[in-house]
Amino acid sequence: MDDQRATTSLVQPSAPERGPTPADVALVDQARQELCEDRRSEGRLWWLLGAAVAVATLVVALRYGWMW
Amino acid sequence: MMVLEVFLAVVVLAAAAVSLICAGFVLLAALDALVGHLSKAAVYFPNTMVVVPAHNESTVLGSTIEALVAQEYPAEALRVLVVDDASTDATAQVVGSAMSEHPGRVGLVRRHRGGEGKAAVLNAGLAKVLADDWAEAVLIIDADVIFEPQTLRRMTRHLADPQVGAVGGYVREGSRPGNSLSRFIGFEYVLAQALARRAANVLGVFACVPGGAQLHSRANLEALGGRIDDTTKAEDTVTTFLTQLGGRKVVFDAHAICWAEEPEYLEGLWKQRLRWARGNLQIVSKFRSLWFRRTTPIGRWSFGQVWFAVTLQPVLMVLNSVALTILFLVDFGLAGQMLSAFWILNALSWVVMAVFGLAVDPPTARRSWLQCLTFPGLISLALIAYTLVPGMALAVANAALGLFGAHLPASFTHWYVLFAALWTSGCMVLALAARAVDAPGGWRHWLSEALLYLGGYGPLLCAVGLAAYIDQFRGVERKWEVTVKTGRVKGGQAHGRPAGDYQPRPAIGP
Repeated sequence: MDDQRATTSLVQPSAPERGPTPADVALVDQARQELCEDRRSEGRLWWLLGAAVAVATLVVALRYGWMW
Repeated sequence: MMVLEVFLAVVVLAAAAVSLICAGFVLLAALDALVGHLSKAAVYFPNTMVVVPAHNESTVLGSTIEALVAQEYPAEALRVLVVDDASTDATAQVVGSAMSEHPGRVGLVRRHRGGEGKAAVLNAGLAKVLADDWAEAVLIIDADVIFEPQTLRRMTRHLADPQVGAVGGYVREGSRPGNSLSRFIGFEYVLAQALARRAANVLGVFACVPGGAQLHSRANLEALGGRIDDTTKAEDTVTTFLTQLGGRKVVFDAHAICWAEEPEYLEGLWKQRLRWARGNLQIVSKFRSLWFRRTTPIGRWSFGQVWFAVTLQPVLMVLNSVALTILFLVDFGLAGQMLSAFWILNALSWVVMAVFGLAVDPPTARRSWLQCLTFPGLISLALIAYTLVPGMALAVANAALGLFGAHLPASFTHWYVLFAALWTSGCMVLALAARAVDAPGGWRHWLSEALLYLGGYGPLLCAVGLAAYIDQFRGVERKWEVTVKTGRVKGGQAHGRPAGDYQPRPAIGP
């Protein structure tokens, strides 16, 4: 890093040894619940997209199928 | 049929195949729920250093840093390092203020010689980050990218799988109130990210993890030599390629949402996209020994097809126009048939992409539905309508002309074929005109928007791609230009709040 002067002020305090606090537990629970919801949401997307494609294909095929 | 006519017909079908390949690729996105990486993700909070390259970003950087320190993530496991690339504005002061407000969580590296490109700036930061062993993951973002409070943890959860080297987030266009251009970009990102990157999850191979939101495991960065390749203008794509060539997975999480400010005017968009397109052409050359060779993920036939369908599209549009025009001269009947086939296949592809695009991201769909519908351009849509329902289209046109006491001439069909043949590249000329007249405020901007709706946003992107080819062949060297940001992302204000009141412990792992 010849062309720069590092002026970072990041400090690294040593974290005290302690067990998980209620807030830690809540954060992990929240993240776990979020992961489950995101998985479910992707699943819903699959059905939504499948239905959308089916309808679009049907409409186009019925309306313009004669062109082929 | 003569050899020439068969050859010209093949050229037209090849151009139509491009849109079919893109539509087929988009269809894969639906399978992400079944084979995507979310099933292997787990709650995981590694020590994460966020590296933010910044050059004259004082207007946006404060909100970006606030949104980062406000992440719902263990406070002591998250730090932000801004790399100031010789800014001449108040960037350093903004960072200084954040350092005072969040002691120990925000840092600064100043480069006194700038303008060497984003990779050089990132490398200055990475050298600092990897010099000690605190960081287990490194998030690289752009200075204007605002993270939603849960976004970082939605990205780190994928690193619980040690096979994953990099994770991409979903960058949405965030300018508010925005204009037509920002809404077009918003819908483009639905196609290019929410859909295309889900599809990439399914294929198992990625073209690019967005430079605005890419998370790397420390192991991945160290395997890459601890630095970002700076030999092309597409450093994020090279990093993505090298990650996969090193045997590590790349994944995309569509729920890891962040907001970015994109250009408000066509000149800014043109410069940004030209840089990206030039970068992609450099990638083609840099990895030329890998394409279509099955020894690596990059060499898969499916990936090569999609990559080159997108990269070659501008050239194929011009060739298509030339082929149809020659056919018009030598075999009018065949020209009409090929033209119909071309527009019908394009219309089908567009229906699939538009329906998927509107379904996959409802908030953007509500904001950009008009831009979704007019993405190919109003003139192209009129040509599609005439191809699909000629009787009805003619009746509507004659009724409209009848209001002025006119009607379509008997030779209309003849001239329609010629016009439609020329239009497949002519639409790019209209896009160029839109760029030429665009200027902030006033009648020029309105005219530019009107031309953009007529010519289409898709053709504008094709025109940029074509310009990139011309630049590349001419060997034009362009200065690395930062896209000017003005702090129009309103989402950031919602997240500019203090960090959560929890007291997390250092290591919460899988």
